Amino acid sequence: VSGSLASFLRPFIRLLSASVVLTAPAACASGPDLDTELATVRSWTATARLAIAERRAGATTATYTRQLGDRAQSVLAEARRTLGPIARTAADRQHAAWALDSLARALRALDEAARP
Amino acid sequence: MKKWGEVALGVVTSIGGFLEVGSIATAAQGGAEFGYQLAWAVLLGVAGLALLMEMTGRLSAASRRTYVDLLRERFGIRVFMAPLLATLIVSALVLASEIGGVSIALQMATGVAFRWWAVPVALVAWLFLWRGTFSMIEQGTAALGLVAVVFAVGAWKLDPQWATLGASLLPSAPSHDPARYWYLAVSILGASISPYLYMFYSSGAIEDGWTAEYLGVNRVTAWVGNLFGGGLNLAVLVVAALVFAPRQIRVDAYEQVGLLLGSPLGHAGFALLLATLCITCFGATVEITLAIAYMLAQGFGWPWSENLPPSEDARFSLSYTVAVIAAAVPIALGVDPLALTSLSMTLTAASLPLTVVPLLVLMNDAEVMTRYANGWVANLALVVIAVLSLVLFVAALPLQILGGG
Repeated sequence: VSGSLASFLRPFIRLLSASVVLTAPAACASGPDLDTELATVRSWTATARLAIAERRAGATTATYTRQLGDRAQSVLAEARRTLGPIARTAADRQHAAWALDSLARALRALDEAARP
Repeated sequence: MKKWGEVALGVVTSIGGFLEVGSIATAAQGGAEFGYQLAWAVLLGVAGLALLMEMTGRLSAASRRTYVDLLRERFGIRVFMAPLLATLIVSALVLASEIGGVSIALQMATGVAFRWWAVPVALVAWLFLWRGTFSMIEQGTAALGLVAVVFAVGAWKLDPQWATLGASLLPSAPSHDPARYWYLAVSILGASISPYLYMFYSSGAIEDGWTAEYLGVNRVTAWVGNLFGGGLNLAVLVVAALVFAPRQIRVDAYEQVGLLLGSPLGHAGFALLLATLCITCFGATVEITLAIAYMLAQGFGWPWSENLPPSEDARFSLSYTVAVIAAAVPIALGVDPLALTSLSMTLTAASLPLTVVPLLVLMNDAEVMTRYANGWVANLALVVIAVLSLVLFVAALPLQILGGG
C-alpha cells in the first residue's frame, strides 16, 4: 500500500477497528437466545397461517405455497435442534414445546392448502 | 421540449431504479418489525441519494466528465484506489444480491430452485448489455419498473393511519430491541444511498451528452424521481407494517415477501409483486454491472460507452462480462440471497465516506465546477450527508454483529 493511500485510509481503519473491537465481545458473549428463537418459531407459525389464508382466497399459487412450506419445515427442524439446549427451566421447555407444536400444526394445514 | 421529455424519462428511471432487492428487503423487514417507525430512515435515504445524484449530475454536466474520472485526477491514483476498491467490492455484493432477487422471484413463480436461475439471469443481463445501448437500458428498465407502483396501490388499499405515518417521518427512539432497530435503519440507508447509483447517474449524464444547459433537467430528475421512488419504498414499509407487523411476522426469507400483496390485492397483487421483484432486480443487475465497468474504465482511462460496439471498448465490455458472471457464482452455489442482501446493505453504508467526502472537495473546486460550484446551502447539506456517512461507517459493522441476526 502506497504512502498516500495508507495515510488516507488510516483514520478510517482506526475508527472501524475500534468500533468492531468494542462490540465483538458483547456479540460473542450472547449465544442463541430463547426469546429470539421462540420469536422466530412464532413468526413462521404466523407466516404459515397467513399463507394458508392467502392460498384459500386464491391469491397465491400451490407452487409458491409449497416452497413456503418447505422453508418453514427447515425452520422447524432447526428450531427443534436449537431450542433443546437453551430451554433450561421446565417453564422454558413448556413454552418451547407449545411453540414447536403450533408451528408443526400450522405446517400440516399449509401442506393441505398447498395441494392443487 | 426534448429536454423535458428527458426529465419525464429520468423521473421514470429513478422510480424504477430506486426500488430493488435491497430497498424491498430492508423496508419489508423494517415495517414487519417496527411498523411505521423506520419511515424516517426511508425519507433520509431518499434525501441523501437525491442530493448526491443532483451533485454528481451537476459535476458531470458542468465539467463534461464523470465523477470517477475527476476523483482519480484530483486525488491521484493511489488515493483513488481506496474508494474504487471499496465501491467495487460492495457493488459486486449488491450485484450478487440483485441476481439473487431475480432468481428468487423466478423460483416463487416456477418452483425451480433459485440457484438454477442465477447463471441464466446473468447471461440474459450480459446479452442485454452486449447488444443494447444506454438509452435502451435506461428506457427499457424504466418503463417496466413502473410495475412497482403496485406497492403504492396495496398500501392505499390497506388504509394506513396517515397521522401516525406522518409522525414517523421524524426519527424516534425504538419501541423495542434497539440494536435491531438501528441495524435496520443503517440497512435502509445503505439500500437507498448506494455509491453505484450516483456513479451510474454521473456516467449516464455523459452518455446522454449533458451540458450546463441540462442543470435544470438534472435537478428535477434527481429530486422528483427519487421522491417518487422513495414513495414506493415507503409503500413497501407501510404494507409490511400493516400485513406482517400485526401478526408478528419477521422477514427471515424472501419467500415471505411473496405474501405482502395477496391480502390487499388478491392474485393480481401476488403476480405483480413477483413481476416487480423480477423486473426491478433485473434493472438493478444491468445498472450495477454497467456501473462496475464504468468505474474500472473511467478509473484506468480505458475507452468506454454503452453506446459503442464492444469491439471499440473491449476492456469495458470485458469488465461487465466478468462482473456479471462472477456475481452469479455465489447465488448459483446456493448462498442465501436475503443474508447476502443484508450484509451488502450494511457494507454499502460503511463504504459511503470514501465516495461522499471527496465529493465535497470536488463540488467546491472552481477549476472543475466553474460557476456551478456548491453554494453554502448545498455545502451544508453535503457536510450533513458526509457526517452521516461517517456515523454509518463506524456503526454499520458493530450493528451487523449485534442486530443482524
